[in-house]
Amino acid sequence: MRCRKNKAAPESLSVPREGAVQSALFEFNDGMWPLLSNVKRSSRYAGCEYGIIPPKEDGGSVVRFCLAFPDVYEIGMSYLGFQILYFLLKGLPCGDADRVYCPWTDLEEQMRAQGTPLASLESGRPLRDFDVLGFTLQYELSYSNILTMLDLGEIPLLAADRGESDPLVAAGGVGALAPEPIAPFIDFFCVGEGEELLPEVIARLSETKGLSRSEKLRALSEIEGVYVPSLVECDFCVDGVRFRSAEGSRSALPVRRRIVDSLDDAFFPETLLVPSGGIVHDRVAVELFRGCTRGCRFCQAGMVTRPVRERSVRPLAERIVSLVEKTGWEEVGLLSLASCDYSGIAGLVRELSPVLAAKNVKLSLPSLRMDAFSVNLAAEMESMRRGGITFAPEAGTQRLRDVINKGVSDEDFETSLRTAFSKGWDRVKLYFMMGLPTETEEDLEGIVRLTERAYSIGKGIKKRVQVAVSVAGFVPKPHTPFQWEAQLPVDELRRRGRYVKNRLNEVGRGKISLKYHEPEQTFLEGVFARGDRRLAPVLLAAWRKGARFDGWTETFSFSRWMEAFEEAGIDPHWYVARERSLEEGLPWDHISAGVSKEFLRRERLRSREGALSPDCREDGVCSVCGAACLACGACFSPVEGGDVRA
Amino acid sequence: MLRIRLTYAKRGRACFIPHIAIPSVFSRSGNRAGISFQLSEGFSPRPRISLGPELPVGVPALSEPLEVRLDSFSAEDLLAWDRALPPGFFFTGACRVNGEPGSAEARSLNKWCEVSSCLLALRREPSGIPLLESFLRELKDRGEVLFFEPADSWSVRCILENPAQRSPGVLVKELQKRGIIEGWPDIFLLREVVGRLGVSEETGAPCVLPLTPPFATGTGRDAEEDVSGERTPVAGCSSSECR
Repeated sequence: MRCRKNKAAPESLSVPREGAVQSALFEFNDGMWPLLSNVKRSSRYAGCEYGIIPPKEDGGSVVRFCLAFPDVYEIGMSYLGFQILYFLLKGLPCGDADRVYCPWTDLEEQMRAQGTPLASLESGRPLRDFDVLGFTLQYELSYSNILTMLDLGEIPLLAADRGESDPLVAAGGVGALAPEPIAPFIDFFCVGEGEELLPEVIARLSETKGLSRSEKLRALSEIEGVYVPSLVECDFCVDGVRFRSAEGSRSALPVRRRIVDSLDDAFFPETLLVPSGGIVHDRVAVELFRGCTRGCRFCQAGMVTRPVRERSVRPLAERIVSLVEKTGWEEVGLLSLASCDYSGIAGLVRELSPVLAAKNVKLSLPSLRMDAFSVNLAAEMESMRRGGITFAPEAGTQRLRDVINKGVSDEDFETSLRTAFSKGWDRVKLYFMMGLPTETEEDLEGIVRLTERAYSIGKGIKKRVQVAVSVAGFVPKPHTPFQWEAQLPVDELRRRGRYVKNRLNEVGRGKISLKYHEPEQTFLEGVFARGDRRLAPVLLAAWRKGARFDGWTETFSFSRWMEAFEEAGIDPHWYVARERSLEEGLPWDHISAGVSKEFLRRERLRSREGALSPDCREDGVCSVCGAACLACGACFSPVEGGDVRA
Repeated sequence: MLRIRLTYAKRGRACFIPHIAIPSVFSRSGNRAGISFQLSEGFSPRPRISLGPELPVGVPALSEPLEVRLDSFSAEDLLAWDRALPPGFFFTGACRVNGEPGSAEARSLNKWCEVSSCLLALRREPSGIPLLESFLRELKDRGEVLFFEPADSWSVRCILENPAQRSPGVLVKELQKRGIIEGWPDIFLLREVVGRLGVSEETGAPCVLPLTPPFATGTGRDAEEDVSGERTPVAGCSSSECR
């Protein structure tokens, strides 16, 4: 070894930092090295992120929280939520944060063979040694990975089996709004926005350090927005699920989703962690606003993130520039459910474009509305014109778009496509859904017709045109007007997918490409999206049979899942195939997401009439019962008559 | 325009960051440190960064070369850039490359990389040194390995020519072929240095000279002199300077 002696810390770099010159035994003795050198994409496990903050000293009151993402690193590291929560927890006097992602099956196999427990990414602390392990629930088909991570982390899978020395297992994210299928594995759910909820949770856990598990959970259950499944009983009745607080529990039902009042005042980190190994969305991500008032009836995100809260343009622009400087990232993504709905979007883009261009940093808008304004705006962003452009008409006919309240007309479609092609784009991607309520063959034909139209508009303007179509099977989601709807069975979804594919082949002659999701995965997603606690044993059985990364086609096995359902005596079709009665007790009735059930009922009724509901926002803010208010129940202040918060 | 050559160490788990991701490791850290990169031409301009020969995933390294084109560079820049690197990455040397176009000095980085040396050890065989030595002797006889010697009680140093063609992965394949190891988990590899061929003053044996004057070699030159322009001697230069 060519080792040099290190002296004092350098003023200028005349001596390499100490880490550079340590003995080769440093790597030789890393017990994970033989495992990592034998798996695919080992950069997933390398850490090697810029911006990490060292762990706090062990002290009596520090609550060690491990943020757990139940999918691979490159997906989880693209999730803005963990960037926010990581720095939030680090900044709390009693909090400390670490992260863990799900090892791919090849590493899992090796860890089991070697008896290596799953540890956190940064500090290498085994999961069982944390105070809290907190999962985010972004996708139903990642639930089996939660069990993998618990098991590899040497934490008992079922909450009831955990002892005093085991961590508390928490879960948050959108899945916490319909948490029953995984309730038996989770000690407590955080319902709502972490910026609001986590500081209280950490404070409570710090105060209750040393108390028993059940005392801690009882204390947590008193926090609004915390749901402790072991303190809530559910009864399965003929008219659906009924929830009640367990005896002696002080938690009030329903559990209300917690939100921040103002995004400007909410915590947002001054820097972000920057990965080194390449991730899916490798860029500075900032939210322009939260919530959406377009009112698309299929869209869970649009319903459960209300009310709309916008950031102010000026501090936002300053923060973006500062984040670019601090992270060194080459791209900025302006995120929101519909970024072009941001009232300050034109001003923000105008302000940022020259500053970022001078730094050779790209600006991108991941979601574009179908209108000339949005396309023109994107066209102004030089950096966006290098890629393709994506639109989401969602349905093929005006009738069906009215049913789902997607405010896009055929004219909007024409205008956006025409503008896009004439502004220089030659690659267009179109997103549709199939299996929407009331869908007929004519609607499928509409997908074909619109795609064909997009292609011919393009050919009228550009020489070479690419149109790619992606069709997703519709999954009715909780807390939406379609939560009572039936989901299409697997065979029918496949038939419709093939139909669209064949028709596009006929008219596109290979010029139009189509992708549609695996119908079996769509089916399983639907079962777990609207499932109840009785699905937990099925999940456990499927996991024991080897279910891993069910959202990935290469690892998904439908037959494994069907066996698990059969053994548990559960008919999965019961959860998806039937239209539910409006009176049925739903497995998420104990969680209030903000929008009232009454509003969802009204919207469902209107969908059947094809009646459009307007955007209830005025000048970028919730009109709070102004003329356009639909009384969804999610706005801040109740109004006279008390109707809104009812 | 400055052509700056740097050498860096890639330690610990950073060895799992693949070669293809290295340019962005240095461009992002450079952006954080306010380094004035020259950009490539074309539709998507990128900082002009050239890497040395590819290092296989999983192999830590002590002195990998890299070249960048900058508008300006100072000792403060180098210090700031080093501190902006992600964990596991460290600069170990820097110098300016001069030379008229077409001259020997101005040749591309890869042409400077004549040889590489690496440490080799068997993970599951504490007494594996003789085994490795007889293996390396065979490869040396076939001309695949230029030189080898025991590095310490648990590892062997070996020098390979033409690192652009012959990465340390070649050794793994040959060991596998002979049944000495099953695969990567059984072997430990660390690349010490990529550079030019030299001769050790102490032993007269071949050695690999790094492509930048390493920091803290007691030559009395500090980074400022190395990187800040006019006074700088030619980099990656005559062997006496590079020792």
